[in-house]
Parts: sequence; C-alpha cells; structure tokens
Amino acid sequence: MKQLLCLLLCISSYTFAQNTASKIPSDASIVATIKGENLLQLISMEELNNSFLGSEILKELSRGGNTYSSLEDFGFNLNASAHYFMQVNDSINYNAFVIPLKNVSQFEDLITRSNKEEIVNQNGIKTISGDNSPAIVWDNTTLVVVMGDTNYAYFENEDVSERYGIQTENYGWPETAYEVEAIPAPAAAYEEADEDVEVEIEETVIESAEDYNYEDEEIEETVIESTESYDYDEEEVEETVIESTEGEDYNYDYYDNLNSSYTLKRELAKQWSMLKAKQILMQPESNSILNNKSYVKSLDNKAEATLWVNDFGQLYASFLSNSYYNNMLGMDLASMYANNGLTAKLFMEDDKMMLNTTYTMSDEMASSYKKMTSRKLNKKFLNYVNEDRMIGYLSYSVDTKATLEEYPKLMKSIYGSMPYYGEEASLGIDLFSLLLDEEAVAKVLKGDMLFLLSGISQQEVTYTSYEYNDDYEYIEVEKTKTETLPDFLLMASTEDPSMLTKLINYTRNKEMVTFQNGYYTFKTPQSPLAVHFMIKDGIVFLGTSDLEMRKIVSGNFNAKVSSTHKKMMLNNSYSFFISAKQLASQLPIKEMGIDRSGKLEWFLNTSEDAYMKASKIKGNTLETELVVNIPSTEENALKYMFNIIETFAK
Amino acid sequence: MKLSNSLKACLLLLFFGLTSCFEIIEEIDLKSDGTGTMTFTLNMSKSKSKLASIMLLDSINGYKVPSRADIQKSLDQMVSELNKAEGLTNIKKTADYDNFIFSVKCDFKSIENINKLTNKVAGEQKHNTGLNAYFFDKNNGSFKRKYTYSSDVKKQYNKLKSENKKVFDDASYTVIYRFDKEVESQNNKQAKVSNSKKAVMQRVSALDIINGTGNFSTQITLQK
Repeated sequence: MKQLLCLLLCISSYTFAQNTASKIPSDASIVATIKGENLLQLISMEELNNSFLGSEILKELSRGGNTYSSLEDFGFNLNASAHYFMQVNDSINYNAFVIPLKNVSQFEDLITRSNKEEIVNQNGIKTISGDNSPAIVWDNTTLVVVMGDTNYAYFENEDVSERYGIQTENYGWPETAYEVEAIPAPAAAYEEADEDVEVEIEETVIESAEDYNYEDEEIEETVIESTESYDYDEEEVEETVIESTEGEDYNYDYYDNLNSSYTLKRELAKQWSMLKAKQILMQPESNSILNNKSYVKSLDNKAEATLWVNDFGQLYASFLSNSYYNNMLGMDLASMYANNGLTAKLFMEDDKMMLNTTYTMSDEMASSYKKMTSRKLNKKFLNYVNEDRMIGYLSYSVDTKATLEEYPKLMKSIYGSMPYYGEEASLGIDLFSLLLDEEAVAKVLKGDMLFLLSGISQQEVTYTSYEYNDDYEYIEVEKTKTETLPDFLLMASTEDPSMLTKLINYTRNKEMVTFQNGYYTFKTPQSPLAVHFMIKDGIVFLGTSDLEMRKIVSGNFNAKVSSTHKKMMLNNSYSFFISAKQLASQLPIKEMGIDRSGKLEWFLNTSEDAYMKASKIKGNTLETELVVNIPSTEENALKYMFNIIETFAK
Repeated sequence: MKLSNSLKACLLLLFFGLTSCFEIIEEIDLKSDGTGTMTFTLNMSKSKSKLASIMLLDSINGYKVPSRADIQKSLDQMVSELNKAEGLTNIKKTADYDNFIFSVKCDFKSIENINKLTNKVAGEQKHNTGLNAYFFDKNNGSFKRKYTYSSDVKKQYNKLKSENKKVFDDASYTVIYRFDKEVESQNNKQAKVSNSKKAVMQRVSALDIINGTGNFSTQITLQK
C-alpha cells in the first residue's frame, strides 16, 4: 500500500484530456492541479521513463517479479490533469486526489500486485477489500483517493460523543457499550448534492491474488449495512455497526477509553472517507467546482500547475472554530482572513520557471495594507549599489507610521473577540496606539530598507596553534589564515537621526564601538566579522566592508545599477534577487573545501539569476512573481529540474 | 555520565561548522617511578569564528547547538568523574571560549590507572572506537602503548553525510610521551624522538585513524 501511495503522490505531482476537475466538489477549500498534457510537451514519455525519478519509480514497482518498462504501464492517463483538493466541514477534513485512468486493467494489475488484496466491484465502483485506508475507489476512467481526518472539537461536543459512543477527554462516560449503534455519516457530506444518485450495492469479487478468509478476521470487524441507494436528500443513508473485540469485561480506565475513542474515531474517518470517495467518483458536473467562478477564473491553460485557495477565513474557521486553541486563546483569525483567497500558477518555459501568485484580500485588509505599503524605496539607496560585484539583494518598503496605525486595527480584529480577555486586549491595543507617537517613530526609521549582499571577500583571521621545543613541550603561538566572509550593506531611511545618534554615542561612551575614518565599528573578539555603521544623508548604513564604508564617507562610491533592477526595487513593495553566476565566480568553493562532491560547483555554474517581487496592492489584490532563469544549455525548465534532482540524488 | 560527553558536545559544534578543523593533543609525562601526568587538549581555535557564529543559534539542521553552559557542565561532570577514578589526583580543567581550546589534566599513580579509565570509557561507548593500553616496566625502563584499530570507526564515519565528513579532513591527533630519562630506542616509524631525546611525538591525521593507517602502537626503551 505504501508503494502505491508513493506512486500516486508522484503521479499526481506529475500527471495528466479528460476533465477530472468535474469530480471536485463545488465547496472544496483548496484545489491543486497538475497538467500532464502541458508537462508532456516539455519532456517525452521516453525521457521521463529514463529520468532518475522515472527509473527509480519503475525499479521500485518492478520488485517482486513484476516488470514495468514505462510509467504508462501503471494505467494512469499521464496526458490529463490530476488534482488534489481539500474539503472541510465541522466534523472531518478530507484530503483527496483525483487521478485520471487510461487503462483500468493495467491499474488494477498494479494494485492487486502491490496490495495482494481483492478488488471489490460495487456496480462499477471498484475498491480494495481489507483495511482500505486511505479510501481508494475507481471506475474505468478515474481513480479517487481520500484521506479523512476527524476534527477533535466536533467529538468534544456532548451530543456528538454520546451519539457515537465516544468518550470525551473532559469527562467520564461510564455507561457506553463498545458495541455502538448505527453511525450516521456526517450531515455535511450530503448537503452538497442537489440530486439523487442511485447506486445499487452489489458486491462482486472480480479478482483475487490469494485466498482470503473473512471468517478468520477476528480482530476488528466492520459491517456496513447500507440502504439500497445513496439518497442525498435523506440524512440516514448508511448504518454501521462497530464491534469491538475487547468484549464486555473491558476495563474502562482513562487510557483504555481514550484508546477506544481513538479507534472509533479512526473507524469513522475510514467509513466517511470511503463514502466521500464514492461521492466524488459519482459526482455530477452540476455540483462540481467548475461552477465556482473564482476557481474557473484561476484556471490557465498555459500553466503547468495551479493552486487555488478559496477563502483563508473559511479554512481558519473550520480548523480553529470551537477548537481547544480557539477556546483557550480566542484568536479570531477567521474574521481577519475572511474573503482572503489565493491563486498560484506555475509556468515551466524554455528559458525560465515562473510562479505567479495573486492574493486577494478583503476590503478592510486591502485598505490597511495599501496604507502600510504606500512608501516607495528611497532612490538614494541606488547610489550605493554596484551590480558588478553584487550577489543579491532584498528590498522592502513599508510606511512605518501607517503600519503602526493600521496594524493595531488588524490585531483588534483577532484579539478583540477573545472570550476571556477580549475587552482587555482591545483596551491594551488602544492604549498602545495612544502612547505611541507613530509620527515620531516613523521619523526615526521611515520603513524602507535595502539589504545588499555586495560581494564575498577573504579576510585574515588569527588562531592558536603550537610550537614544540627540544623536549616536545609546546608553547601557544598565534597564526593566521584566510576566511571567506560575505560583504553586506544594509540601508534604511531616517528623517530624524537624533535618537539613533544618542544610541550610538551611548555605545561609544561604553566602549562597545569604536569610531574611525568617519564611521563606527562594532567587533566581537571571536568573530572576524566586524560590523561598521554610520548615518549620512538621511540613510542609516550598516555594513561589513571597510572599503565600502570608506567610499560612502568620502562620497566616492562607484554605483552601477541597471534599469531592470532599479524598477524591481522601486516599483515593488518587496523584491529579492540572487545571482548564481556572481556567487559561482566569487565563492572560492575549492579553497573553502565545502564541495567534496562537486555538486554545489556544478549547480552554481549551471544556474542563472533568480528573483522574486511583490507588487503594490492594486484593488484588493497583491501579486507576487518568482522567476528562476534556466541556463541556455537546458531545453526547458522541467528538464532542468529533472537534471538537478538526478545530480543531487546520485 | 559518560566521559566522552564533553568531546561529543565539542565535536557536535564542529559538525555544525562543516569545514571546521580541530586538533587533539594527548600528553603523557612519565617519571621513572611510574607516576606521571596526563593531559588531553582539544584545540578548535582554527574554527573559532564559525563556532562563535553557530553558538549564537539555538539549533542548526535540527540539532540542538550546545551552549557554553552545556559545555561547561560536561567538563565539570568529566572532572567529577575523574575525581572518582582510582589513582587519579590533581584534576584540572581549562576552558578558553574565545579560542575554543579545552583541556583536562590529571596526575596518576600508575599508568595502569589510565588503562582502567580508558577501558571504562570504551565500555560506555555504543561503538568500538579502537583500544589503547599503556604498560610501563620501571625496572627495565620499557614503555609500551598497544593500540588496536576498530573497523567500527570507519563504518561510523561512512555513515556520516558528505558535508559532515569534512570535519575530519584537516583534523589531527597528536601524542607526546615525555620521560625523565633519555630514549634509547622506539619502534614506531610514524613517531619522532625529540632533540633532547627525552620525548617522543607522533602526529596522525584523523583520516589515517579512521582508515586504520595511523598506528599508535609504540615500544619505547629508556636508557638505564
């Protein structure tokens, strides 16, 4: 089973033009899709089979006498889309995979060989006999795998625990017998369907790898007595009897009860998951996510993979509402993140790999974030950037005053509703805002900063060694060696440096820092890395390079920055850039002895630049873009990824 | 308490340092009457900047970084354990956290007391790290060190990740024997007799110890 699950994860992370999205329910909270068709345009089936990943999967599944020569032999439709989705309700969270099948016989061959279990056919819906956790069902075109996880808080409800014969952790439940009554499936599972779907329950064993004697299975027996049809309009659909082997002489002590409760909850999760898997497989398109406008809008034919999160508020509400943590802390994250959604698209192109995300916020949050990110990066920072040596940078720009004003408002929406101290928290936040002079703080540090990894340099450091006399008695001697250290420069804008100057003067008076050549230096005895700092032209400079600091003091800094980087730093609320080429040329890998296998050197020498940027908020959306450029020696991003995996895995 | 805990705490730091290197010096000052002094020194000074940076962190790669207090505690426990050992007196420790140099020194009544201690330490180890036994015949002026290599050392080394193996690339183990009489002869080709002829020194790289090519077995005959 483990082998099969691993394969499913690999396939769903690769696969797959049958539209299996119609199997995803309309109220799914998260949907991830991988488009096999697009991926197979980037790498041929033959190349995929011969790749390290492909050959490892084939090798693993070919054990035990089976021989597979192609990933196609497993019966999956690698040319279609595979999906993962999460559906949550008050009682259980489902994680499900919907994977298209091309050749069901091949798939069944795979499943019977790897599981040694029988396949049970219930009127065209097939599943495996035995444990069946996670729930796996399929028909001739689609495979559905569902993993259910019951919600702790749901079963802490007295009515619910009584209904299922489960002992809560908070109080005794002495009279419950372990032969429980009918267990109705969760109501939420049925509310989604508008129409009846009838399935006749008729078990047919179609294949058996080995004889299986059901009568011998005494450990735990689950009997599913089902009505003849799944009637989604009626709540009582399926009755289940769980018979525990512990018997009537069971000793109801605390831990045994917990263990039994756990067993019952696990059994419920298994049954509900199986029911959910069948519902997914039979779901009519009219109930699918394809009717959800937000989801449909997130689709992109050119993307190799997509991720859609409907509403973080809803997710938090499901995960945290009535939960232990929520009752204790009372943080209302659901309210803060209400109507906040996310769409991510992964594009694998010939020259780059790109991940674009769009985060949509509620009106309230967008209004706050617009104010918080209204500041632009100080243009003067660019006077201290030199691309010739620069390995990377991180720019970040927020408005300190607006952040100090808006953040407490957001915090109030979280903490204000705490059951015990909500009022106090609200008062505390107001008091904080009252006492804090936002404008004065914003004058000290305006909120924009640029961190530059401006280069790598070698520095001499001392260490203790020994010299021996004629009697081999040693004396300690100080020797020197060179160490590779990063040069960084951090810049932040200030309007009123008087407070910072007072702080610097204090550290100077206490001899914690020294002043020389127009800048201050802080150095710890063990560290070769001295940190220099100064304030000039409304900028706080903090850096490690002596040379750079001297140039800044004298006004001779030789700046060089392209329009691409200028735009990226100035037009975004944050940006990040790393140059693998610069890193490869400056990092003395061999001398440092950090690359015994040569893989790091290979990686740096074959890598290109990468960057990430986040736009200013437009409307209610925040867009981010992560781009990794692909070296010209590689055909496309996917093959490059496979190449990297192969190199590092071997 | 395991006597090797202090060393492990220090070596753990070295693992985090990746390219760090270290030096261990074992000194035996042996008098003609069989009494003497033994000193163990671990010098990680060459890696001090990396170790200082790492010690600012709580954990790295999922491992807890031993704090100064942890190392101090281990050293104190080591001293306490040595104090309990038979025939060992005058236990002293030094710890230089600026340069990452740590040492423990003790006097012994007989070299046999050291053997008992090393046997005890070896018994506490999960893996066999090689055996050392010292013999001194004061009547004949004959000192012998018997070293038995354990292939378990290499097995454990091979289990390490490639980046962790680098810790041993530049590491070395030095043994120094000092006597109050001149050395007449010694039979270890990797060892050298001092100009004063009253001491013998052998420096072996960590990799030679791991691979079994470094042999500490030595027979030294002193002049009568």
